[in-house]
Amino acid sequence: MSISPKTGTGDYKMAMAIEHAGQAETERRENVILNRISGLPFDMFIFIVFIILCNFHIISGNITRSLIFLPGSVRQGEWWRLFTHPFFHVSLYHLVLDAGAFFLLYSGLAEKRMIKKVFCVIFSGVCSLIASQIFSADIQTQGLCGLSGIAHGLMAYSSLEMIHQQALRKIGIISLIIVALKTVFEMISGNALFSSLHFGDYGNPLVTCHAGGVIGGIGAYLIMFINHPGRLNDSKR
Amino acid sequence: MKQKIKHMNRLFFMTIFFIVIMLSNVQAAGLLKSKNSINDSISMKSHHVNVTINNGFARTEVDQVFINTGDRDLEATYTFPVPKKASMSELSLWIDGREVIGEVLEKGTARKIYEDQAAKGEDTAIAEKDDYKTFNIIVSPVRSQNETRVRLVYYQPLEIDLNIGRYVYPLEEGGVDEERISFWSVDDSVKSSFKFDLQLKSAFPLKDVRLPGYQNRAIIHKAENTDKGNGVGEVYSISLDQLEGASLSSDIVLYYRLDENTPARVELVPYKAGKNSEGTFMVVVTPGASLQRISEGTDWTFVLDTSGSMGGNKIATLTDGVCNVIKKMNSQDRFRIVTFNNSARDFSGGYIQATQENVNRMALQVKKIQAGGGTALFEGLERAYVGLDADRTSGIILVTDGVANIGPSKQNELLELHRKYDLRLFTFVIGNSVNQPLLDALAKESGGFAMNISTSDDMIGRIIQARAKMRHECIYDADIKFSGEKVKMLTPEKIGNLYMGQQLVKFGKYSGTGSLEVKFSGKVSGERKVWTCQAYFPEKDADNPELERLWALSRIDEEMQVIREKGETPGRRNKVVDLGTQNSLVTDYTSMVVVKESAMEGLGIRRNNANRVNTEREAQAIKAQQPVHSYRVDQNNGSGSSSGQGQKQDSGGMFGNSRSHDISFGTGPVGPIFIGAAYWLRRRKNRK
Repeated sequence: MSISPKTGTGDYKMAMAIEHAGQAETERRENVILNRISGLPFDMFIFIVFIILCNFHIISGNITRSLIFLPGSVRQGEWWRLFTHPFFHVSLYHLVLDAGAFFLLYSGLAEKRMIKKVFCVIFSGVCSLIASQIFSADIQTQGLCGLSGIAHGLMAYSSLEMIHQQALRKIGIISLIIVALKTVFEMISGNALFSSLHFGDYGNPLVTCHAGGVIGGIGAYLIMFINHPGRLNDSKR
Repeated sequence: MKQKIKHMNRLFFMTIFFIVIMLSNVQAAGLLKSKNSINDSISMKSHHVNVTINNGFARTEVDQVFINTGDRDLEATYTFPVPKKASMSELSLWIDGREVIGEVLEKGTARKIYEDQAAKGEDTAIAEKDDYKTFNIIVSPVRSQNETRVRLVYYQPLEIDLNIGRYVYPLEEGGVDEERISFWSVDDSVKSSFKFDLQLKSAFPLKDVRLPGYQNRAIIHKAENTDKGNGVGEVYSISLDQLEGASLSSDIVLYYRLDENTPARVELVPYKAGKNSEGTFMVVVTPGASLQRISEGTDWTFVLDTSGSMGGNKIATLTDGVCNVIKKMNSQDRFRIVTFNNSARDFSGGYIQATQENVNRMALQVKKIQAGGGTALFEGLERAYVGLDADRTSGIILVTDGVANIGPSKQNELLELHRKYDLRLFTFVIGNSVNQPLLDALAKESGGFAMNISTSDDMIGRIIQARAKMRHECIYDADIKFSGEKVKMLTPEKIGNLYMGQQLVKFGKYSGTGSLEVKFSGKVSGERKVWTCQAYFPEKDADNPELERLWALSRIDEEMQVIREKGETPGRRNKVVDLGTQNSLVTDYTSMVVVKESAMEGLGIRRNNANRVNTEREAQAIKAQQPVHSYRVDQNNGSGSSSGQGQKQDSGGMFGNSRSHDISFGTGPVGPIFIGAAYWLRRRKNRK
């Protein structure tokens, strides 16, 4: 529709006002998104970027094994797999579950110092990988990918943080016991707990990575607690 | 889901045969010498091996020189284990400085000609097959103070398994022929030069090439493929030189690993000499079906042959292998051990849970097992089938040399036993000269798979390959059909089940030229699936004349299985003789004999093999100059469905974008409940 100024001043002004309002709304929305992105902590921003980069195949449909952890490939020099495998997911369903849990727990940590939080993530990831390598022969052929081991580590870490806070102590103890028992059950049975509740493609569970993650989360907390006994109090300042 | 698992438990019993033949270092490939003989003057001077792997099959050429340092003419017998699915196609003898190529005749006729010529002192040689055990090359005379040069060539199809190709040059002998062992000694030493050269051409990118045990000595060189029309392929050259002599006592094993993103595919390699000739083809299907993992605990029964033939290093390696497998079990698995020699015995006293404590305790007891007595294979198997838990997936690991001498021992008797129990068998053969035909037949009859291992193999890697197959579903009743152009004489007739990573290989004949539809089908998770693609038979394609021999060998193998199971009849025997003579192959009923050209004419021996060899050598010379050629036919024109009706997919070939072995990724997803818990925890923290 085109409106010429000559057809009617009132109609033209109305149309221009509507158009300006639309543009302003679009700009407002873009500013909100940009503000949100620019407002993201640097570590979260990096994690999001890594996840996007490692999961293009979900859109393209061309799934590849070049980013997952495969012991033989890493031995042959494909070291990048050590860093990319936690961010790689086999399907959108898998990504939503693992990344969702990861970001919920990570952003909810009482620890506010970025370097400490990233240390927790890395330590949980390393322990998860080591546990899978030691206790699961299937990793040789199936490899390992996904954030679930780290998510379990963050759950354990969160629980310990809550134990350290008077008001949340009981919840912290219960959640730590539950996550520990869950991983022990999975190690013994060899199966993921409540796996029948899944309704999407999530690959083949190597449940030993959960136990490793929990050990890593507890270990990371103990390391930081030992170094800074009044740690939580420090982080609140 | 639970019902499906239960159904699988009831039907899906797996029997795995580990046939361990550990070789002592006494017997190997080499010159046979009578143990009572005092004559040591004949020996192997040089042994040069040239292998070419291309288009899904391997050509192995062995060129060797015998030297006689004594003062009289002698006869030399060179023996080596029958390589898997090998067709011996050439035997050449250098007579008066010229190569004379042998011809295939009926076994008795060939032997008579050889003996007549040898008695006259004429240069002659013969290649014979001793059942499944060895090829024997006899050369006469190796003249005093002189050298004699012999060359032999054989072809064998090579399959890719879980993206790993494997070639074995067999030298280690099985040690199963006790009569022969007691009579002959084997001189396995090469006095002068030993060379092993292998050229590997692959139409798909390779990640790794290695020779276990020779990695430091072998020179591995990667060349570039310059074919721009067919895409990038890869060429590797591997050399192993020992100029100061060698011992032919260990197999040489080559592994080559394809890139993990190698797609599922259909490859069709044709051969047709001309417009009016009959064509031959080889089709290789590497399926891309997604096979579900079996996650419940498994019952393992180890059935160990502790007979006298397993003595020495064999029993020690057997027990080590068993302990290795036990230690890799999951804690929800159970195992039991049955031993047999003169009779069978339940060694472990029933099933034991595979906890660390139980595994360690049983491993200590297993290591004390001693060998002695006969081989009651039938009774050992029968004992293993008793007490199986119908609600659990079961696997039976049988360790034997396959040479039963107590109780029923014929192939048909053992087949009948399996039919009674309706079990799936996985034959896992380690070593050479074992009764592979029996074990292949048992595996195929039961719907299982056959895998062999060399003592030079990466044992753990082979076990991992076997585990991947056993831990996943398979494609049931896999089959391939062709429509369009006239296809006939397909072999093998029956394929059976395809396990994870396995390829389907079939040979056939065709007439005419033009398009055809290739239809691959099978049952996956109870659902019948069909994949189709279009292919094309050319009017002429002279690149691979060796396919005719490979086709013939497949037909011969099928006939021999019938003979082993149902007995030899004149009709069946003549079929094998005809196939062997028409296609110039050494079989159980045909041998290859070399005599002087003039003698060939005098005896009326037609030069069929010489003509065939010339055609093959011309094609090989041309191929050597050409880049790698891909014979994939399903690219961008395949389709698959589970309804039986082909539906066009966007791209990616017959199996869409599936990779060649769709082993699921190892993950460990958090569940929906975990997400809920994480959200709730976060809210509680924030509220506080």
